[in-house]
Amino acid sequence: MKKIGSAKNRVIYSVGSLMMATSAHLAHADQMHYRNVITGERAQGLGGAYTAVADDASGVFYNPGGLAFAQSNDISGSANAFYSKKVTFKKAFLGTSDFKEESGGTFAPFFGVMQKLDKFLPGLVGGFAYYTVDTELKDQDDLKTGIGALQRFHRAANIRAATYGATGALGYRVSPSLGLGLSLGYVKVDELTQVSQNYTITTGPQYLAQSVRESLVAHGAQLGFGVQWAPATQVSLGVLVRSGSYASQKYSQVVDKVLVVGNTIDAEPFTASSSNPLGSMPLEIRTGIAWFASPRLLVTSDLDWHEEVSNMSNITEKLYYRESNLNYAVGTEYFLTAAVPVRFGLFTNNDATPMPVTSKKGQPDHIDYIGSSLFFAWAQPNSQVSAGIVVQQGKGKSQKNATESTLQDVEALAYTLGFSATHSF
Amino acid sequence: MDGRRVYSFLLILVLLLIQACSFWSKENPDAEPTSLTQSEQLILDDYKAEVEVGRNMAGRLLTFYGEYQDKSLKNYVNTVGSYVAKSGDYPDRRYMFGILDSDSVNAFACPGGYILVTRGVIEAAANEAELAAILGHETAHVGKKHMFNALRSMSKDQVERAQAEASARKRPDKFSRARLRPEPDVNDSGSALAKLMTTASGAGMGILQAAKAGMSLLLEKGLDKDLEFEADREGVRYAIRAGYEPRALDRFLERLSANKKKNNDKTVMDVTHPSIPDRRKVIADALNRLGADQIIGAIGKERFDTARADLVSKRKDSK
Repeated sequence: MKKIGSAKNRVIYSVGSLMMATSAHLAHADQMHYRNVITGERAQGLGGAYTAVADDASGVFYNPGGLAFAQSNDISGSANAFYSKKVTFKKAFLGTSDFKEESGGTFAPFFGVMQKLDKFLPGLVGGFAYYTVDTELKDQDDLKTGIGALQRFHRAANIRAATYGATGALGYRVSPSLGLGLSLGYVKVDELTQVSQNYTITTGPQYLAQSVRESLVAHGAQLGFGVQWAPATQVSLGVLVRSGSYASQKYSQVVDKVLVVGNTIDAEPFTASSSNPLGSMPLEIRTGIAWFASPRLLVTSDLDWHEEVSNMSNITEKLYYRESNLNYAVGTEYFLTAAVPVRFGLFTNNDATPMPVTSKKGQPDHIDYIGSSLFFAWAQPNSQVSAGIVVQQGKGKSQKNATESTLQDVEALAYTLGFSATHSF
Repeated sequence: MDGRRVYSFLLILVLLLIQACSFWSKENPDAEPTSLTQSEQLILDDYKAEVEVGRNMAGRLLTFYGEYQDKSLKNYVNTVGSYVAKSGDYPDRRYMFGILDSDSVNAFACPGGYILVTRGVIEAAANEAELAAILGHETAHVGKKHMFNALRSMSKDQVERAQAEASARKRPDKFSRARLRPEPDVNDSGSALAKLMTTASGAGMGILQAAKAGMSLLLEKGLDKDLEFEADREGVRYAIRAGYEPRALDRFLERLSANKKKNNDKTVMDVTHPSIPDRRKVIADALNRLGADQIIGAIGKERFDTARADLVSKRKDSK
């Protein structure tokens, strides 16, 4: 096995200041951001600040301790959430022009059910949820011709990637002010990246034809323990501790390329694989506070911490090393009328990838996002539908040119149109 | 023209006429749909509101007690109930029967034809004739719109009081109350459908308000005594018409009364219904008027026992 970005490969890639399909520069299922998709009907509108509320089906994900405070049995789903993301690498192409990557799609980020189980044990509530925490679908084709010595550059990239989970949870009302919960879930990371690129440079002359196929599939289990406590009638505190491990991981990369420099032809194929590409699942600790100011007004806030992960194989270390990461969220809900609540949230979605530095080469991008959500709902006695938008704006640094230490500024804009419905029975 | 030609001509003419008649008798797809008269529209709106209120109430009862999950027993209750209802004065109405998972002996008639009997009723009944008479009583409530008319005749204050009482019954603790969100009602903006229902309810109160007030009537206040007596009289009559033994309801109440004396317990039915002796007097009068002594009706003991066999064995196991 060879380490990605090894010296030998760098020779292959070191042809001009062009973007290369090295792993660090391909798009992946985003392991590096933990709030790409804000899941759950009510939680989505509150920017994910839901750990101290979590009293509906999405409590399975946010805090099973909150399930214990459920007022009714719920079935909830989010459908047709259109997702779009555009990342602009400033002056990344030959140091002169911007390069853009776009992804989008339609997916169902959340489905959950919650049932009060007082029949078996008073105060017991059970729930199940399926959720998507990241999704990426790219179908990109870039063609550039006649830029200085660059006669032709053509890059076609197809990427599909998703991280999703299915979790069951139980919440139990220990006392009127205290709820405890436990969740056990399955997580899957699934991504496939296929990029082919070729270019011709008149100086040399140089010609490269390269195709890269990269695949990652990981299955794992997560165990969460949640607490929700009301120190005062209108205040709730929530804590979730969640950890897990991958039962299996499989990563493979195949690079097939033909490089011609003058009269020299290099056509050596390159493969790499790993059974531990991601390392362990990071420990996650969520804390939250909620103020139920009145039946019409709710204010919530969350802090969400993930630990550093560095125990992956050295083959993928550069790609998947994750720093410890902290995110914040605040949200508010206000009922304009008894039937029309509006929800607004602000949150961060910081990158767990290290910030690229000029002393290294071939580093992955680092983009920190700030997000906001705005949702309106229409509530009826036993059901609710809501619709709204989540916008994330990001800034960061990249090192798109594999052989150079130069950094580029990156700007990103992502938005999700969400439609959700909940029925209580 | 010879005879054959004349006949042929006449035959063609007749066929053309038939074709023309069938053509003109067809509905013209471009024609304006027949609009309802004002009174027809009011009846339709009234019915829609009744069904909505009843559906909401039945949902609340099912949430409150839980549904007894025995499909074949539920089918059986529906068969008996529908048969009695078809023999009643309102056979064209829609009726749906369900079983509540409760030991208490009671049955509820919600507007719109939603009739729910408790598991306790089926356990306490001795035969199909008794079940049929109980369902006949509830069918009469629905057919005569006892509950719906009672709700419509309530003043706004009465509705609000009943609503508050219904809400207080399952009052959550203070931490859960802090999480309660405003209860959307039909008068809220954005609720076009609900608004339509409000208009249709006639009394100017929302479906939700009406349902809550109805719950208070079902579980706490009860209907007017005279309405209960009327339902007893009519229920007995429907059951007799359906071919059942006339004194079944009387025997059921007699046994219920004896058990009550033995156990000295007070149930929801005691609060919401007239006393059993009073009811038995009314039933006796009705039976006399109907000439019940001359009627030999079916008891349906074997079929009833088969239908509730699972229920009985489960109860034995649990004891």
